[in-house]
Amino acid sequence: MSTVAHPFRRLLLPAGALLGAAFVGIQFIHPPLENPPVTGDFQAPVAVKNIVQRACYDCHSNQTNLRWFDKVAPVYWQVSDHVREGRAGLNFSTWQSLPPDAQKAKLWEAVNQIIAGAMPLSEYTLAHPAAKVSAQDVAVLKQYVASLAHNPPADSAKLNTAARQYRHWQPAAAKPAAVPVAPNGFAFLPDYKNWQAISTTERFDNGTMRVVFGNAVAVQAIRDKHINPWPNGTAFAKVAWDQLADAQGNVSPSAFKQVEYMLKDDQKYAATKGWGWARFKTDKLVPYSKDALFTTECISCHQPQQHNDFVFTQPINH
Amino acid sequence: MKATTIALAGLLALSACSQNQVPAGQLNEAASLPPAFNFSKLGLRVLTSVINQRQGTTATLYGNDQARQAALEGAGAAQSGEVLALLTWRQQPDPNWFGARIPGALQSLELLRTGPAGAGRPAVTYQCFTGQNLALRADTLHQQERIAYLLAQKLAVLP
Repeated sequence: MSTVAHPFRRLLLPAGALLGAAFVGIQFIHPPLENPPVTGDFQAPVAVKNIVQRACYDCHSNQTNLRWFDKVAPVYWQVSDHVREGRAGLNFSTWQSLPPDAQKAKLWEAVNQIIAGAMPLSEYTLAHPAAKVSAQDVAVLKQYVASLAHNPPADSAKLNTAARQYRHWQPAAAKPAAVPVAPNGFAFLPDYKNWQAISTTERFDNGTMRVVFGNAVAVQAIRDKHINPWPNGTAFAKVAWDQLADAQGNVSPSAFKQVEYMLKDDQKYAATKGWGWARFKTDKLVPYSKDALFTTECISCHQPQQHNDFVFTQPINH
Repeated sequence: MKATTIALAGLLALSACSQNQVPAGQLNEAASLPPAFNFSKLGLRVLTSVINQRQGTTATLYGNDQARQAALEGAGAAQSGEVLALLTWRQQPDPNWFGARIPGALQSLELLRTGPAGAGRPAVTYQCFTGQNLALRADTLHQQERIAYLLAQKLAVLP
């Protein structure tokens, strides 16, 4: 036995020593991860704040609390990347710099990420079990965000915007000469309104209502039940309007908020999960963001639907 | 030993099945129209969408070019050759987004057509199909009310 083990042991010792030395060596590659000042901390009822602090603050605030095992390379490299990305997407320490509507939208999105199991990241909760969000915690968070959703009766400013848009928008009215282009090169597709509706959504979280249109490729894919993955050439346009309620409880579209596109091309858009993404805001169709990196927002919100080819909509066959 | 072999073979067969399964995607079956109805053959475009929060329904209004033009010109501008279709669903919570409601079971399809003018105003035919199979409803209760409602709808802004 020992005659067999001997050559191994002879090799094992220097190999182990080398590995150990490398391990010690990489500890010196330690890009600093600062905790910048807290400029406007997230405010919420204590029960809500406690959950958010416990489950989210390590990556989504400037109060990151790294444990000793987080600081050991190579784990540290991944941890610091996560924190940097986490803060870029959502930072509770600069919360007060966000307008109220954006704060609400972030909270609803965060709660939906938690419900879908996409957040907190499983590799994080594996090492930090205290950060896990229980079913009870989810109930507390859902109740809190639901309490933020209230549809105020249409004020005159909103009605004026809707009326102005309607007057301005007539098929006879001159169309803008230049087609708006999103920062990622995605040009506005004016034909969306001739596509088929594949679903509608009432969004009581933000007081909008939506129609999701699909182009001919999408409609054929729905007919063929070939929707996961969706075929190349599939395009969706999701239109959002403000809600306008009348005395009978009928809610109809008021001001046009935006149109958002997803266009499938697994070659051209390989870097953004196979989809081209775009959002054009207001009836002026202003491209969202100045920076092509806006697609990271699209993808992180759609991430929980990765097993449905990143599509939230459950299409209706007409 | 034999039992173990059978169990193993069974497990293998099961795992093979689950591997071959193509993810079905998330077609909204309950809200889908019966294919035999051929709704898309009507060639209509979306005009607007209406939610009724009291009844928990959501609806999409479709129309042809004439219906669209008449709606643009305002209520009472009905002309011949208009086709309007209102699809109504029961709402259900969106399983993919807490904070949203989406169409659930298909409730009805109301179909309105205007014919050539009779005494000044075009004649209107109205049909109501209900349920998952869109069966034509025989009774004519509330028809005039529904016709007036459909003809009064305003277009949603689609720039």
